[in-house]
Amino acid sequence: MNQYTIFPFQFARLSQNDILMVNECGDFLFLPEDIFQLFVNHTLPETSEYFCKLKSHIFCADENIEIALQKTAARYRTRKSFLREFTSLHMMVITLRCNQHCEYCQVSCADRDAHKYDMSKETAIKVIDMIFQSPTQRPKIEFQGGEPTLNWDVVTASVLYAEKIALQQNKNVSFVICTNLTGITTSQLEFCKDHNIAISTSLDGERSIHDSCRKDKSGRGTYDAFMEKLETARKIVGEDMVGALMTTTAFSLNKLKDVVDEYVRLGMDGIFIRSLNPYGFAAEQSATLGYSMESFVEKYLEVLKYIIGLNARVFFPEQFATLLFSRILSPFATGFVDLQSPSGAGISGAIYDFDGSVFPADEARMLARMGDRHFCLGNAATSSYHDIFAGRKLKEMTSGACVETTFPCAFCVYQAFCGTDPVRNYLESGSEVRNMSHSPFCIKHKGILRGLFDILRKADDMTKDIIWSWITYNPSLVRRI
Amino acid sequence: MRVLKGLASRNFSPFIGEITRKGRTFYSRKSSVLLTDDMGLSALGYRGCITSGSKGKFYHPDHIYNVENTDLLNEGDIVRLDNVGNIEVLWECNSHQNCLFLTERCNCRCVMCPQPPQNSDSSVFLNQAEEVLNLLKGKQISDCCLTGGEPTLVGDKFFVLLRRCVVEHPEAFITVLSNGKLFSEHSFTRKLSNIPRENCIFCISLHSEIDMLHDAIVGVHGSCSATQQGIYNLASFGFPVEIRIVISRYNYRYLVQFAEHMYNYFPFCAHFVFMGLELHGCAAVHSEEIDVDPLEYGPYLRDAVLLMIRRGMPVSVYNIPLCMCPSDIRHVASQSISSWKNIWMEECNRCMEKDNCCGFFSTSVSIHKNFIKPFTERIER
Amino acid sequence: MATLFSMNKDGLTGSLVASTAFFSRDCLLMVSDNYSKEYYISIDAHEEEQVRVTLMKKDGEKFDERVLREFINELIDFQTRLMLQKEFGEIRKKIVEYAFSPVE
Repeated sequence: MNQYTIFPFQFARLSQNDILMVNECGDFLFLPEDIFQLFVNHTLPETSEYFCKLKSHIFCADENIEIALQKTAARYRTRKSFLREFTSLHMMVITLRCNQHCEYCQVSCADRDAHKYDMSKETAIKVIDMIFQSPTQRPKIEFQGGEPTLNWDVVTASVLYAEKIALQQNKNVSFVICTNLTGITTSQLEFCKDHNIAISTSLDGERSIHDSCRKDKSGRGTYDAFMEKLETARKIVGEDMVGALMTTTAFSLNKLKDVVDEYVRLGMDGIFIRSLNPYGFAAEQSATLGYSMESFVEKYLEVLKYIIGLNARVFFPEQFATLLFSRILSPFATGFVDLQSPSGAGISGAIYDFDGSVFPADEARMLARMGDRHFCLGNAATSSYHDIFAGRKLKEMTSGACVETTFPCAFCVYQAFCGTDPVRNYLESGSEVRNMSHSPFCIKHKGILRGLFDILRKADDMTKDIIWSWITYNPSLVRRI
Repeated sequence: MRVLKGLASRNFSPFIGEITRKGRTFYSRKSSVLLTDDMGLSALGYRGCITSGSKGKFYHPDHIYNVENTDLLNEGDIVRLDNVGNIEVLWECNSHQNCLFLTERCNCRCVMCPQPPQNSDSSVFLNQAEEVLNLLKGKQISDCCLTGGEPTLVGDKFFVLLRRCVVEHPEAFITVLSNGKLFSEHSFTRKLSNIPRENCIFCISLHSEIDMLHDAIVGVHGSCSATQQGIYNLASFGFPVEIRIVISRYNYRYLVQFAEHMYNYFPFCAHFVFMGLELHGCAAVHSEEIDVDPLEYGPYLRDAVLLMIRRGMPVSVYNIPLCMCPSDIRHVASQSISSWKNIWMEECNRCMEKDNCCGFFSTSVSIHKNFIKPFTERIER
Repeated sequence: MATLFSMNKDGLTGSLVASTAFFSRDCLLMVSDNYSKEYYISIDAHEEEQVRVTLMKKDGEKFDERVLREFINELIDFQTRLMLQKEFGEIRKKIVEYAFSPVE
């Protein structure tokens, strides 16, 4: 028996002979099966090369446990440092009105003219007052909707007010507007430029894909209108201030390569291959729009390989892979509210509905629209910051929303890289804490993480350079053809 | 230190002074050493003299005569003259690698140490360091390195001298060469609290993250964890830390694993350096055990450095000539050898990259001659 | 540990016998949970210190014997996890404690 101390880790058999081990602070190692058995039985000889590796990645220590503890704790603290900033992403639903009617839309958008679904200036002011009570030095305000440009006066008033408060409090506020661009005016774009408002828009793919779901109120495709406005927007605010997201539907699932080609053709600086969220309208149309999570994982990994190949010619990261690779390979925290432990709902991001109601996540707001206000934390106009962000509801939800303490996540090899979504759990199972096995959320993340580890296992120098060029946002790392 | 030799004029006590060739006004001669070709009346009033010529008269200040290569001495250099005829250059004005030597003692016994530790009294060196700092006060210097042995062994004096360097020369880059072990005590590190951090960096040697390997190399049990703890403590007080690893036969096969470990658990460090051996002193005695040639360590060094470059970690390679450095990492090789012990081989005169290369240690007992390959064209950068 | 497994004559179910001296109740239940999506599972007392685990495919398809071998592998892995948790539980607490302790 060897006297080494085994440090906390998770493991899983990824293939015939290979065991993936991940320690408490996300450092990982592949070990052959027989060596693994020796290791856990305390019979691995100290002279073994593998023992050296295991020590180097802090899976064990002999005499010097204290320093191993300190290093692990420091890295653990670093990974959880997103907690320090507390709620940083604040989404304001400026209006529920929209000039489009997309098939998968989660927002039950009201008619163009139903102004009672607009956020009033007074409500916006109260929301912004609450936003600035969050301890973060860098609040990010995201204008959402419906289509926020339809209630433009409130957008401008919010920006100006937020800038004033930021100056008073010596904070660094940044803005994003989520718009379909099809109705945006030049003067609105000029305002965005003047106040450094980043534009986040949607592009599902080339014309046939985009128009299959993203339609105007008369049911016509919006691709052409969008392209025209996109060019104008990029000219006025600059290409680096316009980003696009795509949503995968049954129409595009088998054509993701074409979607990527469209993004590259337009000179976009990357893509985020997102899966469909089965709420709102989409739930009714899941038969036509939906797909199994297993098939999403398969297609995602296929297109990811294609994108990696593309990077031999052009710098073009896939954002979700970049995020997960960062978590796997680097010791640093990665802010991604939707996949965090403890869950980011409320404590990293919050959403303020048009009437001032505060929710921990967008799905919680959808739930309220469907009649269940279980997750409503309060109202910016009437509740205090403390009631909402330090209140019992949020605390209870957060204390259960940790991968480290719920089964089966507590024993999952990907624990250090994954997260929880209590709102989605509630939506799918009626309870904030649930057994995640077999849930789409788990199938998706397990599947993708497994695929990424496969890529890492076989990566040659070029692939490593590409992956690191994404993680460090350093295009010059790759010598392109 | 560069040492010139000559003959002492008499049996005087060693003294320190600042070299002048041009001469000084009478009132500013008392801490100066006149460098002259022959001893005349103009030599009067100086603390001492150095001459390539013959011995002066009885009325001349203490001096060293018959010195060769006096052209190696510059205006403003600080020298120590002793009664055996040694002229030790304690401070070279034109150099960017000046050191303040604080002690010969060390709390490690590194197998590759070029300068074996002695259990001598450090006060001589400490007084010397103070005198040098006194002479430098008010002048602009580019850098200063506190070294030894292990400089932190001199206790409170270390903090006093470090503070002087940092405060009196905010324009300079102050480095401390240490094994960091004493900083594993939080209370020791706390003594740094009143020292400004802006122009100061601690260069800590760590030869492996694996305790058994590092301790075997430095010859003292428990060193690895003490050094690592020291690095963490220094960093927690906000001081920049550089980690230096010397490549030897003991650890060359583990360079990649080491680099990964640095990224994973020491990403806050300001700089990482992979160093070639100086085969002198203990290193020369143990050369069979520790020496490893570029063909053997090359691939491991390459992979380790590329690993760091990918992750955006600042990394350099010291003491490895460009022709012996794997091609894709040549751009991080640095001209690192102190000028006074820097030499090139005859073949190097034909090399297009000689000006950018660190060359060799004149002190090494052997070098990898077979691997010298002059560049026929400039390297693409 | 002696695990015996057998296939039912109708080819629709398979069962294995596992020693409870080696596999804890938690282990059996947690592994069964992984299979509960595709299989109906029952766990019955067998002989002393043994249980019989029976699996039946939900979609009525033929039962593949490899599933039983996988199940046993997972039992072993899971028992290892439970044993390891006991071993490094204290260290885990220390890591989190150090990570979130205030600066001196």
